[in-house]
Amino acid sequence: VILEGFEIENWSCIRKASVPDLPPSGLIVLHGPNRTGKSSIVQALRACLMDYASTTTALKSWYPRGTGEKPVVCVTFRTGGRSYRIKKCFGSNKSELASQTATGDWRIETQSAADAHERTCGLVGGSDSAKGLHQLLWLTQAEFHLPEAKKFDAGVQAQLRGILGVLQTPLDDRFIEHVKERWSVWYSGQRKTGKQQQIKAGCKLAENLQRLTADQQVLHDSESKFREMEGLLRHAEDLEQALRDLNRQVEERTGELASRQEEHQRSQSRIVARQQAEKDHAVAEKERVSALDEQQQRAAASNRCQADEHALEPAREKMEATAQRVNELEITRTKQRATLLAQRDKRRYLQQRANQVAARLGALGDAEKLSAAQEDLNRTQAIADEVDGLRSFLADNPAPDAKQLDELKENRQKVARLQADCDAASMHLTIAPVANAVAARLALDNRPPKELPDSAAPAIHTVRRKADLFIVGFGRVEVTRGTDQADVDQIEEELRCCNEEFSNAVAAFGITGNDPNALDQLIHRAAEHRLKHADFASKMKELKKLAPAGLEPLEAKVRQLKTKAEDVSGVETAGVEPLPDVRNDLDQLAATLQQQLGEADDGIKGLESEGDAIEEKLRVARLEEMAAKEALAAGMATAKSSREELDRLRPVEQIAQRISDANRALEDAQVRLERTTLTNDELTIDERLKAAEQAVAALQSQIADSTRKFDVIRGRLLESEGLHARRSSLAARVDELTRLTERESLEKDAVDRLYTLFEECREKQLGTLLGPIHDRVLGWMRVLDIGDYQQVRFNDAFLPEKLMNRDGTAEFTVAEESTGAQEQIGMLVRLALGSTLASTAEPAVAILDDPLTHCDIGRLSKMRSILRSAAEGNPNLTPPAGPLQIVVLTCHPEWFRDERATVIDLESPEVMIRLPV
Amino acid sequence: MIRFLHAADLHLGMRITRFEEGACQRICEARFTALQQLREKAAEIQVDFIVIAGDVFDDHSVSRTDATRAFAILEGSKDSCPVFLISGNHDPLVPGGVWERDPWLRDQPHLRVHFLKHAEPVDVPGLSATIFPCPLRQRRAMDDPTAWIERHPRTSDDRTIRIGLAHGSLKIMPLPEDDHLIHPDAAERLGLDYLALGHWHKQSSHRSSDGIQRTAYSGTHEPMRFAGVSAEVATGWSSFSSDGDAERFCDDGRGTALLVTIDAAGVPPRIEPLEIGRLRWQAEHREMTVQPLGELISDYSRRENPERTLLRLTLSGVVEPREYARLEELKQIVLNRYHAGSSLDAEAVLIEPSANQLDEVVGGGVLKRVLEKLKEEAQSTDAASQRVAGQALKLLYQIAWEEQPK
Repeated sequence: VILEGFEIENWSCIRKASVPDLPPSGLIVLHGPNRTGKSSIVQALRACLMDYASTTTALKSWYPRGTGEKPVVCVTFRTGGRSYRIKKCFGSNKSELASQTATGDWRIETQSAADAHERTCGLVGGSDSAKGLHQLLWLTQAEFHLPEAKKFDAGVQAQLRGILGVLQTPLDDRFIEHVKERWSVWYSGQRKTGKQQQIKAGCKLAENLQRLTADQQVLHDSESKFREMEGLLRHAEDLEQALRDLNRQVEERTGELASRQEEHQRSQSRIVARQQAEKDHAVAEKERVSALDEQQQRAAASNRCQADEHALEPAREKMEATAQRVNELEITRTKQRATLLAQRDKRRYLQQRANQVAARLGALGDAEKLSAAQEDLNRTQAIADEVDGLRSFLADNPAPDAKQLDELKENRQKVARLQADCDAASMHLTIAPVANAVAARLALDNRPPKELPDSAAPAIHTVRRKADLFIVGFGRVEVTRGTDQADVDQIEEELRCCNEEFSNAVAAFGITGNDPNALDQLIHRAAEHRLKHADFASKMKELKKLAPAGLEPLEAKVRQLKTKAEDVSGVETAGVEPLPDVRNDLDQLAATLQQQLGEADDGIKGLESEGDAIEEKLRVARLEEMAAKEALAAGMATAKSSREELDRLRPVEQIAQRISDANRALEDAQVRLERTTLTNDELTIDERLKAAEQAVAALQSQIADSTRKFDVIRGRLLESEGLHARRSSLAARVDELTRLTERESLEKDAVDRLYTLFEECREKQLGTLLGPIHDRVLGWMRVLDIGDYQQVRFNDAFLPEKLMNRDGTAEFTVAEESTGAQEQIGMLVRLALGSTLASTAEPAVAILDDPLTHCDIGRLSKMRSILRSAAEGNPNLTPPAGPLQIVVLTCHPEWFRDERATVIDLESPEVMIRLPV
Repeated sequence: MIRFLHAADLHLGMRITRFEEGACQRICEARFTALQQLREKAAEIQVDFIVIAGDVFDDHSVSRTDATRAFAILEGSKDSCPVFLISGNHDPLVPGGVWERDPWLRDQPHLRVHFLKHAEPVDVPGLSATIFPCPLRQRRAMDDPTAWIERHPRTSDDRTIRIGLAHGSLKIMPLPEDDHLIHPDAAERLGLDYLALGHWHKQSSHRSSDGIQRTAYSGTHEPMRFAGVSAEVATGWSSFSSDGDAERFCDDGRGTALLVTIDAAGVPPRIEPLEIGRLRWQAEHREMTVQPLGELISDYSRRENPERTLLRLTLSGVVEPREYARLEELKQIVLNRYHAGSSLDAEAVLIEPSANQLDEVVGGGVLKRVLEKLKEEAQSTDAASQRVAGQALKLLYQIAWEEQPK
């Protein structure tokens, strides 16, 4: 349906509005400032075309106030190829529906209010302007949100399905609900696209998987034990085999041992005889060897004895020669020592003389030092006495410093000033009351007040300090004498304090405060102190220089030098040869003595070297003598020892007899040995017997060891009783759980796959069906430059649900966009869906009250061209986009005005007359 | 004349895992029941004795309960005939093994149970018959367990019936060398009238070089596997042989023993097979494209002794969604009427609606696209994706079918 025109009378603020001959498509702009009545026009159109019959009483709020008039709305519209005119006089039963004939005349269809309303609703597509296509295209003021999917008119959706195709059948709905129900057995929450969801804890599959894991672990342990038992079994087999072998070997070895023992028994007598022969032979051989050794020892001892005695004579001769040499060297050494002693005595004398000369020279120097020190001491003592005098004076005659003196001077000046203030003359107070003046009293200088005489003659009073005048009916007048800062009492108090302060100050310097010359005396004394202080400082500086550590060091030095001089004079008297008194003679004598001392030292040194050489020779000679003596003693001892050794040995004859006896015994033993020669078997029987015994013992040990191991295995295998059943039971449980979980996992995966595929296919189908809408909306969004989206995902209700970004990695809801963008996207979707439902034969009207209020100027310009494009429609699209009649009511005509728009000014009196407010 | 029962490979306390735990227990229990039936059979036909040729137990570490129960059944009552048995490779005579534990540890001989642990001739009391037992001491060995009998040849005047009792593989084909190989002509060479063997689970008898059947395997007394299906896959049981789950360890799904009659020494024995097992194990595969589901349901619901049949039914083929929905009916029959552990595997069944049904089942909306996509994925080369897609397809049909307006 489209509007061709309308007339409104007495509707809200509208006295009369008349908008005829609206174009069938394109942009129509009805503009006027706020409170013009734009929204009232929309309400009037809604009421007339769909919402109310003329008889309604629900519209009273829209009746004009105070006029008593009732609204009349007449709308001409076109639908189904014919034009109709509906006129409703609200508040009455006057309604009229007329249709236009081919000749242009109007033919009345009905004048019944109910019929007219009903038929009009049928023609425009509904009895509610908030439903049907109007829900999309008839926007109330500033509305921009799209309807919610659940509230979107089902009839419109059905129309869209009729045009775009079937999206999801009821079977599909039931199917996916069934699948979701099954899916929720294993999963919780919502299925998320592209994500592998975890099965929920507590579901049967999760519990079975958990039990399976636990049972598998137990089975694994059980199988490990079984394998261990199988290993033991194999080990037992090996051990059993080994035991059989060992027992066989023991049997064999035991037989061998018995045969060895028998052989050993047989060989025993011959072995004993042989052993005795061997023993006797060994003894004889030993005796023979011993006798021969003794014979050799005796011969050797005899030879050594002779040689030792011959070696004694040369040793004795050498000892005598070395003793003579020692004697000669001792005589030479005695002589040399005497010469050295004489030379040393001479040097000692020279040294003594030199020391005396040096002492005399030192005494001369000390006497000079003593004189100088005494002089320094005397001078310092005098200065010290002067300093003490000055210090006593200064202490006895204290004087104020400059600051104290200034303070005293200031005190005296202040006293003078205060005294002057006090001494100033008294004041005269003249009181001259008028006739019949009220009585007054006067108190002078804190005395009791007195009544003033009431005579008219002036009375003069002398005021020293203060006058208080009490006047009846007036109050008190106080007159006080003083300076600006204080009265007389305060000045006198201050004066007393100053005097007391001065007396205290001068008393410290031994002067009384009453003395009128006290300050002069102190000034004089301070001047004298300044002079004395300069002198005192000078003397102190000099004293410090002469005796930095006081007088004591100077006095000590003088005492020391005196003592030294006395000592030197004592030494001098002890000398034998007198010394010269003159320093030069003394110096010459000292040099001579020094030269003589050097010569004596050289002589002593030469003699000492010579003595050392003689001593060395003597030491060597003595060593040689000692060695010769020792050699002689050793030779004598050796000769004695040889003789004794020879004496200890048996005589030659006895030794020869012993050798002969031994030879006979040896021959006898040899014969017996030859008789008892043992065979190889007899020789090795012991070893072989021992080896056989060891072999049997080793085998028995191995058998014991194997038996022990075998018993251990037996014990372990006995413990394994029932293991097979347990393994079997566990394996059965694991198998069953595996089967169960595999089966349920397959079921779960299949359901999940069904769910996934259903969602994917649904999305795909949605994309296919909504392709034309999607492409138009997205194209317009790009014109408006809203985001950088690759795709707009529509839901089942043909409304946008998600916006996908360019690379498809993220999706957003429309609500995440700005308010302006939401308004614009909503408008684009309305236009796209409205165009789909409109056709060239049956265009649709869109009434936009105050739209795009959140749109910026840049986008408004683009939006204008989009509105124009949508209004024109496009028959080439699939499905074709029908034309729209877009009626915009706005207070911003500049936003929508262009050369092709129909612009109507609601302020024009030809268009609309408002009721006076 | 003597008559005896020859059994072997009882595998009591068998390790069986590929069923739910309760079913495993019941299947293990069936082995004891079958042993009891063997005892009853012996009493019924009044044989002189029973020989068991090894592998009485599935392992030397079976539980005391199993060991005690086996002993009690074999010991039987005072009228029962004696039982002669030897150890096999599953329960070898090892230190601490089942044979060294109570009640088998008790001094031999027992009243009726004679565990022959030494390789030496044993005369059967009251009969002119000697048993030559060949007990095993290892899981695997390269020795011929019957070789020792050579030391006891038949003398010319010996008229005693000689019966060999051994556990091992007759070397009549290529076999692992450590599988206790027995000379193929051992019975004749060793002068035996009959060589009772154990180890191979399927019943078989073998001719000696003189053309007489003197050697036989009795087969296991109770089945351990589905015929034609790997034992490892079917039950979780495995042999200790080097070649593992070889054909010789497969039974044919029913428990057997042999009734042997020997008239006199040197006379060929008469060998008669007996079925004594408690359960029958049947693995069956049905192609649903060929056989409608209705027929299958009818077939499996009318079979005899389903409670004594352990059925493993595998279905394949292509069915319509409506038909697939009825599979549950067949599944309930298999699970409820047949022995515990029976199963129906329909993973290989594909659902393919007819062109007419397609729109009806999935409609023209999103589901149709999902179906197309899943069909593509079901052709994937990735096995995991293929499996998931296959299952998802079935679910899709199932849910879509359930959601059809009734």
